[in-house]
Amino acid sequence: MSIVSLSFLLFLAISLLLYYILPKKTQPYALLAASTVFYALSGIGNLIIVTVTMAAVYFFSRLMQKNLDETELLTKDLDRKQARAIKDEMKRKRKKYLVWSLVTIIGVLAVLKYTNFVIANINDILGIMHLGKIRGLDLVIPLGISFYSFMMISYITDLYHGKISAEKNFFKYAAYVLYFPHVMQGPIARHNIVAPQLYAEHKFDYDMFTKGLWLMLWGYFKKTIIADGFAVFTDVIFNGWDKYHGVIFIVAGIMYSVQIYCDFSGCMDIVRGASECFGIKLSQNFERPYFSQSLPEFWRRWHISLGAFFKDYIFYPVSTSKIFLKINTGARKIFGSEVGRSIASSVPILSVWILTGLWHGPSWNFICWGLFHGILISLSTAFEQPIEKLSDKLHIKRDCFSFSLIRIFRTFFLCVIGRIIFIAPSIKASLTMLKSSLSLSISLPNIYDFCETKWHFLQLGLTLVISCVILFFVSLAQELMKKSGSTMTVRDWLAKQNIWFRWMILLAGLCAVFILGNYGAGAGRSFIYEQF
Amino acid sequence: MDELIALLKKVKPNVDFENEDGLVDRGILDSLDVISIIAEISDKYGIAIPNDEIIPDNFNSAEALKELLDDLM
Repeated sequence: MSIVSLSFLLFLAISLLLYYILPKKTQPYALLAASTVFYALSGIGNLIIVTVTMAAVYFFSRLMQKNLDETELLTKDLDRKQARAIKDEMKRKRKKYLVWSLVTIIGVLAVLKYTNFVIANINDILGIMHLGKIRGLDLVIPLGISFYSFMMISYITDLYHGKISAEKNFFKYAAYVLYFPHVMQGPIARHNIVAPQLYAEHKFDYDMFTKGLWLMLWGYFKKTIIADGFAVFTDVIFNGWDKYHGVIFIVAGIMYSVQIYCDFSGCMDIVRGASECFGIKLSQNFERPYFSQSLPEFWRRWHISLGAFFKDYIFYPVSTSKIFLKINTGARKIFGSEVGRSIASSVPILSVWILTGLWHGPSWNFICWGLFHGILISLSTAFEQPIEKLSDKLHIKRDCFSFSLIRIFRTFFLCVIGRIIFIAPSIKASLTMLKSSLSLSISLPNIYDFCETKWHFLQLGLTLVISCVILFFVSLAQELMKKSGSTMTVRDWLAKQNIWFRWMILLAGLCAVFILGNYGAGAGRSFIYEQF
Repeated sequence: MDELIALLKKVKPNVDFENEDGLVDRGILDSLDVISIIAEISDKYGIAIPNDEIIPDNFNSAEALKELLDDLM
């Protein structure tokens, strides 16, 4: 069920009604029932796969909890050093449960998502040697597999480290994994943040409910008007890349950068808003990333929950493994503290970025896009200090608006280059487009490539310009509010305004989405991140 | 404590490790600094800081880090 459809709104309304009229104690089960129906609508096969994976992880989580309970008993009344020795011993024992859980989760993910990619690559090699072909498999890829798999990994890993307690009730644990606002595209929710809210009793909170609806409307505005509007242009240019040449690819790259932001962050606004209607706050996954002044900052503000996952569960464990700690110490002795630490971190950073690319899907374009960002981030950390010193020597003022603006444009431009690698149908296509962009020529596409009539083209263009201006000023206001140290949100500000003004904004938003947006089954583009 | 402060200053000079109590929370130390500190501690004291202890609370001040090391020794 698309979340940009009237059937979703109807489904949400019925779920909310049941959620608030049923006894408070049954609320987590009401959510599980709604989530199961939502998930089953994507295919019963999908539901069976996710249930089997959940059951396996639940089984190992109970064994881990038993170990943690024994640890607590054994360390009672001991001093800190003795207690730590026992804790370490017990942790070694529960490692096997962690390994089995990870093998199950990653195994299912890898087999379903990457088998055909591996077969295709083997076939390429066999083709070169004229040795025939292996047939691809007809595999089902469950809805949101990359998202719920990572949620289960974080759950079991946090449990292994003793940061959380295992959920006794399988149905409550299933409600955390399958919770329909986050199972499709995230945010990749941590158990310790979402589960207490899911299991708590919620009274109807008018303020939170209306603010949730506001956020949903803003998400629909971003997705149905801006993202789907830009898709009209980017689909034509990137799918017919061999018909165009020149700077048009950069223009399309800029459009696609705005499109993918509005598509994904719009979806996040819709699901976070829907979740707030149930009284459950999901973490923010975007923080106006295009205001970032460097790539590392950009990735702290784009798909925040995925970045945090890779930092906590891949980057730190790899970087603090014995071998990398030795490399770190050695590199800092040879190259100095700043450059040395960056050199030592480059392998873990590149590993994280190759995995980030692969996470998006089985494609060499995604892997190269990840590598592109990994290399740039490694270089930016390595040269940050030397560049600052050079700027000081050249008396270049860095703490001023103009310098920040240049850095913002530079970061955005690098992201656009990355997006051309990301969206292109093949590596060859992305290289051709980037090479072609360097020639300062441009082949102007015919407007009929995009729209059937001139009037439709003008209407779409004007809608996009006005919508982007609104998006920019709202984002700027949010950015300035944050910089001033205010915790107020735009929704808080709106709630304080005159009721006529609020209704005017609400009606304008609704009219804009209903008249200008693409929605309904099969009308708009499916979400880009839905396929990941 | 002085020895630990010297170690921290080796990784990140010009930081007031004696008085600062929000090293991670205030962005004075980033993830690469934290890893360098862990590497330096491993090299000097032979102590391996487990992954579940790599949390802001343990690296926000020299005092907090000292407490962690005392536990791990």
